Amino acid sequence: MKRIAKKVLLIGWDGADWKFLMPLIDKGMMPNLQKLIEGGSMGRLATLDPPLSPMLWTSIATGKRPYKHGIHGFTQPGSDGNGIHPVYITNRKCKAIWNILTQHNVKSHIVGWWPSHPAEPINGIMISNFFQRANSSLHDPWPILKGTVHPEEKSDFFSKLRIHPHELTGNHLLPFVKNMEKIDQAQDRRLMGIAKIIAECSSIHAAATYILENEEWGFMGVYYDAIDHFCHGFMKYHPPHRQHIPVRDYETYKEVVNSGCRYHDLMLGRLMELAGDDTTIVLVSDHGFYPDHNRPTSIPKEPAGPAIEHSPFGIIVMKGPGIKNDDTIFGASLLDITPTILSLYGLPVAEDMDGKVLTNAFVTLPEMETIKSWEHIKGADGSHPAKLRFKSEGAHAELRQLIELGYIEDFGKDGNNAVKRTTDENNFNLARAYIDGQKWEEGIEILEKLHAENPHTLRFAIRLAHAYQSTGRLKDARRTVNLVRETIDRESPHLDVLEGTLLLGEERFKKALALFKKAEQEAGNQPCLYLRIANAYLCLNRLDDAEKAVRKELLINPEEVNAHYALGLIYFRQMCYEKALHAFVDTAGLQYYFPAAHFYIGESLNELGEYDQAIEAYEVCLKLVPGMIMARKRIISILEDRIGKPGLARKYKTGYDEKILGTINIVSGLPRSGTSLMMQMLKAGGLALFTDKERKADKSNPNGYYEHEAVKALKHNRAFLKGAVGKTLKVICHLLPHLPMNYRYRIVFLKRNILEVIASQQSMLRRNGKKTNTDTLPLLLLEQYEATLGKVKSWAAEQPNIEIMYIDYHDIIQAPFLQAMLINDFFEGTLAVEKMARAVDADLYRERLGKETIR
Amino acid sequence: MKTPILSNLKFRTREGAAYDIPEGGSLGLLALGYIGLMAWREKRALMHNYSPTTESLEKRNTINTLNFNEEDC
Repeated sequence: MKRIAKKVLLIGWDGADWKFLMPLIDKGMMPNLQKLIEGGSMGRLATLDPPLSPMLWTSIATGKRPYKHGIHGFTQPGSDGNGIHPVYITNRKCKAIWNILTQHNVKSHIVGWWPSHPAEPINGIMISNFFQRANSSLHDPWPILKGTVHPEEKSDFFSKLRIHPHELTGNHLLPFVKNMEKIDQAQDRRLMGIAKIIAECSSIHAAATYILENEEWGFMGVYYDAIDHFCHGFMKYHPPHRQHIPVRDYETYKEVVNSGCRYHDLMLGRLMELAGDDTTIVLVSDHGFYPDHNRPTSIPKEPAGPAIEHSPFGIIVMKGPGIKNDDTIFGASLLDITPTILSLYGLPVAEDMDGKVLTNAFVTLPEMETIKSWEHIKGADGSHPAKLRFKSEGAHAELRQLIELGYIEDFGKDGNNAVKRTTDENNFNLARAYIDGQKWEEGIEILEKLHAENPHTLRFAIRLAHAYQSTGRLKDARRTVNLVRETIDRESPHLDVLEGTLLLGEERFKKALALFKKAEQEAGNQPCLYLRIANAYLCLNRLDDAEKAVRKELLINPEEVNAHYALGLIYFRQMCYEKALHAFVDTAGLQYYFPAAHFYIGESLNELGEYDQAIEAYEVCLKLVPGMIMARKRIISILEDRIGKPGLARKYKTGYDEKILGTINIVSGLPRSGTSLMMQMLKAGGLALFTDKERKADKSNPNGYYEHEAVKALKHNRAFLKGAVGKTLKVICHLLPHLPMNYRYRIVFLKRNILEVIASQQSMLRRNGKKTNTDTLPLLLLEQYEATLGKVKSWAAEQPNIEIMYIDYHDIIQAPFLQAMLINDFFEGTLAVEKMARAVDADLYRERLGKETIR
Repeated sequence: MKTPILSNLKFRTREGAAYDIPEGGSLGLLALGYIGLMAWREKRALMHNYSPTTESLEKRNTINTLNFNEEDC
């Protein structure tokens, strides 16, 4: 593989967000960042959940999610089980980029990375994140902690590059606070807070600039936490002024965040100068920070509560040889940084990394190779021995800092409580990380344990209920919500919003709407509340009301992508394709990696007769999600039917098979059309069934239902289908159109006289103690069922990934062996026909009206 | 480790004018990194003939309208 970069300088600005950087750039106040942007490529960098910095910076450095890299919070219980300490680098379970580069003789230096204490013995200098914190007065000795600098013999020299906050003067603070002479510092310690932040980041900068200027280097990573700290302390005073902020405080501290950014621009300029033009510079932040009306008015009093101020997108800028000039990077995640840096050095990306190479930043596509994992590649990588148990006695300052920032609780001397709470918090973070990585089962398992042990902790319960809901376990979600309602005897708008969302999943749209409105009255606007209200209106087909709700959401948050997307869907359903197109373009403009938005841009253009442009949009969609068969299908349809280019359509047709993730057998039909019987037959014939045995056998179905609870939420969650590959799943016909396109389906569809079906359904309702009207024929239901069957039939005929066999329930009862043979043919002769036939119990054919064919 | 000799180092503004290092330092000097920091400390030592690691800064801090106390660290 070809090496593109001679040297790479990776700069971390914790918490930097384009929303407050751009206005400064526009005013010419950040000339160095502007130069970096104009000479390179920039974009937004999606963060991960939970957005907690030590977890995120380790993901940046490893390309892996927290459940792989092992950093799960700010603090860890001590290895002896007593007390807690700030998280150490020894808690990391995999190689970081500097370890891989050390193995390839790229001289690497790291300054201040979080976490990086104790410094690893890499082939360059490593200065840990314990370097800059002053833990004593200026008059007292400020020894450098053991393990702060590698190699240790350089400790004395680097210790002299640290700046104590007391060393700073008014000259340093005046750019941040203009009228500081008016501050009563005995009462107001905020000025001292600013001095600490400046001193700490200046210490990091001094060490980094020394290394860049005086050491041989091939890779350098330097991390500045100051923007995040300025923001947590002073974003509340950032313009525009909000009513609840005292005017005097606002006037005093309103420039702190901007000044902090401008100071970082000065430091960036120096780094760029020292690195030289032949260096590839990568500037990133781990998350953003709300500078506007989305700023919370209060911080939750819970661990990591301040993270509520973080926004989901950080920044990325790349500049250097082989990187596009003045261009945009789309769809970047912080997981992509390490894979991208590896490809800059011409090194393969590991398959166990969760990120991708940011190919759209490169002038020409880099050569890309993969290896299974870097973890098993032998050779000195500069990491600590696996069994190292590091115990630092001097971590007090670091711990104090985390308490002051509000990230961890101050437990005082209650060691046992500290250990328990820290373990719970880290497990909670781990569960969130699993869920963020779509590893639902692992996340739910942890949350269930946390919820059982801490039934009064609302956030554990809310996450658990949400996870259940997202995986289609609506009954479990309902049980959890009900339990929380009983346990917590207070009103909670958060719980109302959660329950409202659950009610949407349960298709109880009116109740959901009522609960959302209640939450609105109780707590005013909550994040995306109007979007949820709009969703409820959409489900109720009240499109005008839905539009009004979305517009309210957009007034509050004009950059909420899902609101633009919802607006597009509303217009699309109203057949206002021009307006829909604009809304979907806005969506993709805000978040390019939004495949559904590109798909609907294609759909809107298709409706408007702009076929060439529609194909372009579907192409983008395929580029983002190569397995999106619906986009491929649309292109084929346009090429064949609209613009008469069947030859071109061929290449899209050949791509189908590569995108299919597996085959799932489906048994479908109207409820009570014989689907359970067919499941029994297929089981007897030797097919594996995908059921959860949740629904027990009863008088209506003495041999069982063979269902899976997750199917009910197929409309909203399809992740469970992965487990159904190669198995047989029961799906009622109404839900078939919600099957995703990236599987192949072999469907056995049961036909039964609709009157018999309705009669059987009514008998079942009666057996369950529910009232039914047996005197009149439910004509409306009959018509609806007929219409549904018609729709399903025409839908199935259009799907390229579906093979369907229609079989009559009446025929099965009359001639089970013959029907079993036909079914066996459909399954390519793999079934035990005789056993299938024997599974048919004709006695259960209780509502007999005769045979009916599907129309 | 190489310890730069700063006595002969000249600092200039972007416009090219000679920059006289202020006794109280500046953000610009800190942004220059280690070299700005060391130059400032050297200047301070020359002006007052003290070492920042040993001398109390109470007086100087007061002059610059900043008050520090131990609980801040």
